[in-house]
Amino acid sequence: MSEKLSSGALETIMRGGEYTEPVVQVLSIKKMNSGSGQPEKDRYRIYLSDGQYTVSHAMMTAQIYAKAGPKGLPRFSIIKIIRSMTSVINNTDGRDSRVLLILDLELLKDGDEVGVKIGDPIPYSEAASARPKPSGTGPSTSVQAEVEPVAKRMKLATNGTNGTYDGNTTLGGHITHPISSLSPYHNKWIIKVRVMSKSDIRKWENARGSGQLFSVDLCDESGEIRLTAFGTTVDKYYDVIQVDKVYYISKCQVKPANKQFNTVKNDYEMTMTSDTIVEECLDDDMKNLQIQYNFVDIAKIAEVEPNSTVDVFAIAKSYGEVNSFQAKTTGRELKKREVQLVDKSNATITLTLWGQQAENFNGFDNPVVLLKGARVTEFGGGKNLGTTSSTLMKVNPDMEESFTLKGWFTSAGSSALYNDLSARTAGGGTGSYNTPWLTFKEVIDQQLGSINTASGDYYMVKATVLLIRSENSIYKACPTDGCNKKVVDNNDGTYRCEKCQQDFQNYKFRLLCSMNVGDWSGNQWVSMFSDEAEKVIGMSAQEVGELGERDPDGLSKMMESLNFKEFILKCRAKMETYNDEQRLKTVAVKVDPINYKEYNAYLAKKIRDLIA
Amino acid sequence: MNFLMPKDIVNGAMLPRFSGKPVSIIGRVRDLDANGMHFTIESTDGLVVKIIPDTPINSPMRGWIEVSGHSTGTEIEAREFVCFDNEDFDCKGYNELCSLLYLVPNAAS
Repeated sequence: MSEKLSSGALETIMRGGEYTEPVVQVLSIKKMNSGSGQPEKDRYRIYLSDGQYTVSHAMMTAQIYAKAGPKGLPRFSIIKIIRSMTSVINNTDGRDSRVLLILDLELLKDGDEVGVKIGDPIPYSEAASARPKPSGTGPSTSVQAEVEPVAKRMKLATNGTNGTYDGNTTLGGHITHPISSLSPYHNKWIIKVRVMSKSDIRKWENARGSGQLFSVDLCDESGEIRLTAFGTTVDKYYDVIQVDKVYYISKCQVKPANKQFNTVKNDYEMTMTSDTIVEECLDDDMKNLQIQYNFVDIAKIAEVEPNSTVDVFAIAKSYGEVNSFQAKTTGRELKKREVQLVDKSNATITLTLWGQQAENFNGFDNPVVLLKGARVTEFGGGKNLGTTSSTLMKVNPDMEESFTLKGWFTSAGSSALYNDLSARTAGGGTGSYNTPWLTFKEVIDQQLGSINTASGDYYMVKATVLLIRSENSIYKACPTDGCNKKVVDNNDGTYRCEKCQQDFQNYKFRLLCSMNVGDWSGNQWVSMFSDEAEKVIGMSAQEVGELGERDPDGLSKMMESLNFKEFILKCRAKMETYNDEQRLKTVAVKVDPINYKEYNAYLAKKIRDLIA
Repeated sequence: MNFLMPKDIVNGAMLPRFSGKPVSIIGRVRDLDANGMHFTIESTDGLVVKIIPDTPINSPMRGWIEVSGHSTGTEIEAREFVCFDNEDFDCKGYNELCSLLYLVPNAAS
């Protein structure tokens, strides 16, 4: 039989053409376990040569492989492909790649007898990419797949469960896909990405068990994406993946991004699976993809809108201790640390660090702090900086600018006077700083309560009491200082506080009033806690409670006497869902008697604005 | 003339503009003539305005007062008074009111 290969046949086939029974040489073959444990479902991936080109995207099933005989297909075997088909895999970058499926074959010569590679074939894909592409190619040249240099590479981790990728295979030699091409409908891809940021490991415990996670934000020329690891993959990869390094990543689950937790600009996000492969890329540091910083002078942060993000390059002038406290809403223990940052703009701003970042921060010897994507917040008229899960923070980064900044601080900066952006401006009489004055109609029109869904929307209003509910306005609360939990009457003269887990002989009265207030434009039910209700009623909660016990009618008369009183209220409106029904819940967080001078000045200013 | 009659709310500087017209002004009593024939007030904008009541004043007057009457340009021929007992008065707010009232045409009608 002839040992002559069908030169050029693979090119014809891989371009979608027909070639009758080509003779080709097997350069290598690899068994790919199906993972199902059924050997008949295994596949073989073969590396073929026709003497001119080689093709690595060739597959056959175990049944076809069996046709080669008991010895299989040793390296360099020459086969005749009797029947085959190609299947097109659509890459969203516009380049289609074909996979050759061998459906029938005949072994012409055993590889052990041949023993050598015939000819000097070159990889087909490389040859193809050198040619002009057909029309309708990718949208951007920057996202084209490329063949990686196979030179220096290191295998960091492989699929540990079924050994699909053995020691000879790395992701490095394969075509990589741009991040922008990833979608849940396409699962054979390899991306080459730079790690922009890495979160701390977060652990949780709830009724359904405990778990852990961490996430990294990845980028390439085409875009960015978040990759989250759960469970054991956290232990496996947390130390492997380092910020700023470049990795090949493959086999992750791609799903629509949950925008609630994910601010990365991508409609999808990825989750690591047990099959996920992460491999450091050592031969290409993606130099053109260095993280771009857009540093803002601290002094300029004064003009930055709250909740926007900025990049800051500054010196930690001083830092506080780690503070532990309990979150009001969740009861979770939080840790924070405040760091004062300064830069050459002679301004200082407070950076708040949370959790591990707070604990790990070492502010000794005034380190240089670099922040990418720090969040600007506003509190009491002062500006602050905070980190989010996607903020990148580097302490003493290895950059030339670090030394310049450090030098400035040592020579001049340490003794300079700074303008403190985080200082709270003294509030006016009603503490109305920054809280907008609204009428009840405007509250509805502007859909307050739905704007800032996390903390609620605040507004100031001059309101008239229309009705206060006297029923259920008083409750018996735990007498412990700071604990206002309602107590349970044990009916034996003692009262139990579930929160303090203690029985008490006494209790204190607390108020929880619901009142309807109105202005010229509308009215609104608001609830008030003790401190505010006391100001409206003009009596202490204890006095109101005693009156209610002694003379319930007197209590309702007293409540009625409050109708038509006017107050300045600071309200927090929040849309809440009860039984699938949306309701605007409004709490009067501050009640003040009307400061006519101030209110008049506000109204006069409004008129001025109107006629201006 | 009584308080229900339409009149313009003014401060000291605006008196000439409303000469011959019924006005109302608020000020602080400074000194009262011995026979009660006239007295002066310091207006909210810091001007001294002479008030000539139609009947002699026979009771002591002090503090903030609203005076209604005809402006002569510099003085007021007063018909009625309202005495306030508060010490604090928002002069800035009152002056702002006076200015706004005539900035917006027909604002008060």
